[in-house]
Amino acid sequence: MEKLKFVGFHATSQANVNNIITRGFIINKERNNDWLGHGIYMFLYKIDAESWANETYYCKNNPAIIKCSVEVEEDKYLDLDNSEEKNIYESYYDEVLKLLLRNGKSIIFKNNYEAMCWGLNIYKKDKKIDLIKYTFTNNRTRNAMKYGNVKYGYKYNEIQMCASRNEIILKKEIC
Amino acid sequence: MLNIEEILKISDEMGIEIIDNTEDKHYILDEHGEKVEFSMDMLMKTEESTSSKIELRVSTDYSDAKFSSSYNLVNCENLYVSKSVSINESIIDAA
Repeated sequence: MEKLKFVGFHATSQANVNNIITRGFIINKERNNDWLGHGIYMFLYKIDAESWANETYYCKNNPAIIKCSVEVEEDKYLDLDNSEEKNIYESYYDEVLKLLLRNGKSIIFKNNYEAMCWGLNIYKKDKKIDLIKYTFTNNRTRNAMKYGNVKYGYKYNEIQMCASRNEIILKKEIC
Repeated sequence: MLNIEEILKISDEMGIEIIDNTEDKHYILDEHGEKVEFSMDMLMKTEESTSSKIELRVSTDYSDAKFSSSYNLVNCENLYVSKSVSINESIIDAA
């Protein structure tokens, strides 16, 4: 199987850098608002990681960026910017919801993000997905003001990736 | 596809509430905490709902080849911001 290679930039605080470099990332499974499911989050572009690190409460006082070299088998990569792959995922989600109903179960999501996180957690487990990529609109005020969100017609977006496990991150470097 | 036990296990580990199906529906809580029927279409609105719905009043002051811009937040609806800014708070961007 062909392997796909990516470089991603993880935003964190200086306090966490050494642990991440030496022991790997800790995947927080307590948080249910992860829009690409539980995993290790990276930005495709360093500038977006810097923006996140500089403005997020837990790392803005001592921000740090870790450059991650990622390798993933082609069939374990889900690109939600690819309409075909997105449609397959959405059909799968529909089927899971129907399966629950057929088995006499209804689900109550607290919010949209929990529903997104749940769906991708199930899909990742089933399809053994190691990496997900999706382009989000960047609505962070400071970025919008700094770069011009729709200047000359182009929205300011940010591409995020979520790795399901440490093993696909082959190299980590402090930027 | 995962079997029903595995799906229920993942849901349980995430602390997601599962109830007996009586109305052939799934649910999501609305902004008032009320149960409404869930559909995938709602997730398509996630990005829209966080789109920039802000109104800024901008004024610019030029003096001695320097200028400063004052951004005053007039209105803000459902916007994800990295730093809290209050309505009527001014941000001065000097150059």
